[in-house]
Amino acid sequence: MLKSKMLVAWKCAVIFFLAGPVVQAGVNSNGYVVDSTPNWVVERPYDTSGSAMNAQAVQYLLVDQQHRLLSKVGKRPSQYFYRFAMRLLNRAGLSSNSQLEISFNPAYQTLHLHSLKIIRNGVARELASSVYVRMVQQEEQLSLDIHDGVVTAVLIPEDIRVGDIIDYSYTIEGRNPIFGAKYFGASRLDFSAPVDKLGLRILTDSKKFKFQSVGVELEPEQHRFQGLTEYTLLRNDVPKVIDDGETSPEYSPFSWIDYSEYTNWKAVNEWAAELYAGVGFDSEEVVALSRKLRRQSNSWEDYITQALFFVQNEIRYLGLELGENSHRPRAPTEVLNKRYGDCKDKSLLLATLLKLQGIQAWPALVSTNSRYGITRGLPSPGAFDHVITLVEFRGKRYWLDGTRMYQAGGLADLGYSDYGFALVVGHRDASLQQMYPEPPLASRVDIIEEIIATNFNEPVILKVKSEYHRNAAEVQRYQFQNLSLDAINRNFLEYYGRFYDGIKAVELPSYEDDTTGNRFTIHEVYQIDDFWNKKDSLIYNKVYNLSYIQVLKTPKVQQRTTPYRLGSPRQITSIFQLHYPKDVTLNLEEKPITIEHPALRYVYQDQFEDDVYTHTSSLVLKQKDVALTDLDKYLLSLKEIRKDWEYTLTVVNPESVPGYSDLQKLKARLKVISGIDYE
Amino acid sequence: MSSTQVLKKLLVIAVTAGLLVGCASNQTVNTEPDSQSVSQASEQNSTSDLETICNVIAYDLGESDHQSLYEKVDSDIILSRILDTFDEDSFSNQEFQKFKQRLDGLIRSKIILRSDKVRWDVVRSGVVNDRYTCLVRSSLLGGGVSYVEFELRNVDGRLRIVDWNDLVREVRMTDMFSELFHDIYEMADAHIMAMPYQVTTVVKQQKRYFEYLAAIRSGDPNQMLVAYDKLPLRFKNKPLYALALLNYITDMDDPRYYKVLSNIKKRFGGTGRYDFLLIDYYLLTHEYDSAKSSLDRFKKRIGEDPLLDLLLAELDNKQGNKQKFYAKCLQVMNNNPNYLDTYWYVFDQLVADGYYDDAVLVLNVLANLFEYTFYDDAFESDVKYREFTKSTAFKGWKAGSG
Repeated sequence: MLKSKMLVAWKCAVIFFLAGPVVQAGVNSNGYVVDSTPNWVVERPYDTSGSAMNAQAVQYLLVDQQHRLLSKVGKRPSQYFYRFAMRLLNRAGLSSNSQLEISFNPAYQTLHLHSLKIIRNGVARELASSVYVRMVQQEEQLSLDIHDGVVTAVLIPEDIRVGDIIDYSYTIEGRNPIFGAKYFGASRLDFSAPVDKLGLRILTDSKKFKFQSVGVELEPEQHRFQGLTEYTLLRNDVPKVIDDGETSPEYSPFSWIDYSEYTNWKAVNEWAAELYAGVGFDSEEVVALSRKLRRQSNSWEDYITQALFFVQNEIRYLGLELGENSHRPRAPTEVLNKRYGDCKDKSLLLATLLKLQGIQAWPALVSTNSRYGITRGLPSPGAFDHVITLVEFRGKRYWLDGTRMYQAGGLADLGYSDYGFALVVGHRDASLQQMYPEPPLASRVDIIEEIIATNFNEPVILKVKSEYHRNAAEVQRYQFQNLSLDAINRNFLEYYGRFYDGIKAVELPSYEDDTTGNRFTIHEVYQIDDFWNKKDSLIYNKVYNLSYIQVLKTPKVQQRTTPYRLGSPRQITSIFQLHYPKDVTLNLEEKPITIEHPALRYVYQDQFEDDVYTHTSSLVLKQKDVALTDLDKYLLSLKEIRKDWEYTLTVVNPESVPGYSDLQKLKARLKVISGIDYE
Repeated sequence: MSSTQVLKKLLVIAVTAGLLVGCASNQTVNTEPDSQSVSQASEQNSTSDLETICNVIAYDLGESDHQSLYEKVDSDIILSRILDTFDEDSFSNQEFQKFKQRLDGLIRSKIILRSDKVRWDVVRSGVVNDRYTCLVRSSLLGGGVSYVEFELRNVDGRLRIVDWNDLVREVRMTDMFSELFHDIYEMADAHIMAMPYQVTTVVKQQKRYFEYLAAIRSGDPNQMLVAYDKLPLRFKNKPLYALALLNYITDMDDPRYYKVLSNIKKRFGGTGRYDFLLIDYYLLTHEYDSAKSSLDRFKKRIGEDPLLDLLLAELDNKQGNKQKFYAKCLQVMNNNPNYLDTYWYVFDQLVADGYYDDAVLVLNVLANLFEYTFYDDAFESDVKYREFTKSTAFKGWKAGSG
């Protein structure tokens, strides 16, 4: 994954400061010094007598950030100064702050610890020189096969008690050289805990700095200081932000301020284009591969997907994002030879393979975190954390991702992720482009559940056929390639067991993987021992419509301040059939019922014919978010829809009704007389 | 008790003043209210029991109970609707009171035209804003079919009938009365208003017009036919008078029934109206495709209804496709198992086709499942069951049921 290291570094510091310690790994003591606070830093006093009423475990007294960002040659490298002061209010606060963590990248950064004070009853102890420090290479993204070289200094001060104030400050010096002389960054303006005082100060020799606050309207003050331009912003009594959760990034309730020397997205595109320029076309291996894939494919469209699947499946995902390689892709020939690469490597290799055959393709930078929210901030390289590939083919645009696995089918069948906007490197449209102005279906699932009963006294058989398309097919393909059938069977049984008593698998699940149409079909067969319930002359059973439970959920927070995220456009259809053992009478309202909401459409219908009860239903998610104004209606719709997810069917026990057998005989005779097969 | 090959003549029953017609049923079990629910409804009549009052209306229609039905009518609202169509100075106060009394009396006495007992069922009821509706229809087996939508209003906390719409004849009662009285009023003064050179003609037209009204009052179909022929052309061109004639003519022989229907088709058939009325015409002329199209269009207006499905089945039967007939009846049976007309309809056809064992199955279903009570010699007295009653199957059933 491509990362803005500088941004990540300071964000991590704040996040740890607010969230507490994380897991440790190996040790590396490079790049750490203890020295005094630089003279350009302005000391910010804070009030220790303020009320901690709104705080919980920790009272955050001061969060101060001061950056010295010089672009002229010969000046000192950029410096990022941080100071945090917090009072530990109880044991939970003590526990979560017993060690302090500061992340930086020794490849191009140095950590300067200036001060670590423990203040108890107004008396301060300075521990900067004596504190035990462990250098830990956490490689937080190792599980994602990303090696980024980031190191965390873990400071473990002794004798901290409840009521103490911890006040520490440090500077991270240096910045990833890949970003050149133009500066950008972002500072959070509020957190999920209240902060008594929050400061941001930027000193720079640049005249091009722009600021943009998001979520709150704030403008930094501008002064002169030591011959530099000084931007300052100070907030007191910053209230905590209540995050509803389940919200798309563009509706994040948190505030921050962006600063950037990039005047527009085109300038960012030009920066990226330099990194991707001039690599790939002179490699014989890549050309040979392109020819081989072309020979194997039966159409140009097939060639595109063959190239994509080669990059996805034959090039192992591994991100060695050390130093400049955080953002600069490796040459396709190198990626091909080593058979590994990260998102930008794969994107460039795929674009190269396609271009070699005359198909227009470009790497495209996207943000998996901000998505549609990317337009809220200022243009900067730090806005992106992932690279995919844009292909323009026969008047259509396809956003392909070389890092996805388990994809299959033609171009029209592929699943996708909607990252909102992309910056297509070197494209004629150098600005941000919306990936899917009208997002297509990301997933489709068709489920048929059939319950077959031979009589009212025996167990019934439940047969389930589930057909998955697009993203849903990829998820199932992943599951069946990574888990044993036994494990999958256990998972399925566990799921159905929550609804049906006495259910057991008749056989292990089986599947068909149609890789030409990206369709994954699963077959399951169960036996349910206790399906029928009897009371007097009635027989009844519960019907569970399980197809939507995982998709349509009640928001955890219903009194919301932000829209509720539904997810990508999806369609699910479900057919439930109950084959009654003998002729029964079921009186149903057979009219289709539609529940329409701006964000979704749910339709269901009951039918009963030839002793088979059929319930058909379908759900279409039309929008990825439920607007706040539609939320009440959504909850009402959901309530209404949920009635269709669990209900009881009741029939009269034929054996207990006089004349019933005569009716069945009559119907049987009418079938014969009428030729049975009349529809 | 039994079906009467209904499609020969669908339309018989009129509900008011010669123009509301009826005969139909519903998919619900037995919508006839029992005495308890009737008395409760009479006492309550609140806005909350629309369904109950609809059942009571259907019950009153079935019992041809003029008085009971009239008690549910708010004649003031009906009268005001009709009188609103007249100019204020059309009547002196005395004339107005007299006119109102006559109209009230007419509604009271003619709210149900036929006195035959035919089952009426509620098809559906509904509320939109302050407007309550009950769609009722007569039983298929009563010798005719009608769909009537009653409009009710909440008057002082009680639901009162304020109008009704004959969906088969496509006429609203208040509109019909308005038109009729406008014509009467106009014709009564026509000789005064006429120019001297027109007087002779006008008087002649007056005579013929009022002779027709007298013929309607007489209830004599022959007299009505003669009077209708002599009606001035401008009245013949109004559906009102042709439909009035039809109310009384359905019991007559096919040629005269055909004549009346032909007249309606010729004069009004091209207007896209009277689909249901003209089904009989198409049956008499063996134009089954046209009959089916008309029925399908009517079904679209009314919605799902087992009676209409049975009529569609009967159309297949008429065309000799018995398999389709039985299959469709089976479908109706499956979808509306409690709609008894289906069983009788199937029974008659099974008897006609000589499937006596199967016909007995139907009788068993009716007796055991629906607890239907058969009267002595119920079948022996009807000529169409003569052969059936001689069969072993029937005799066995009779011995068992006895």
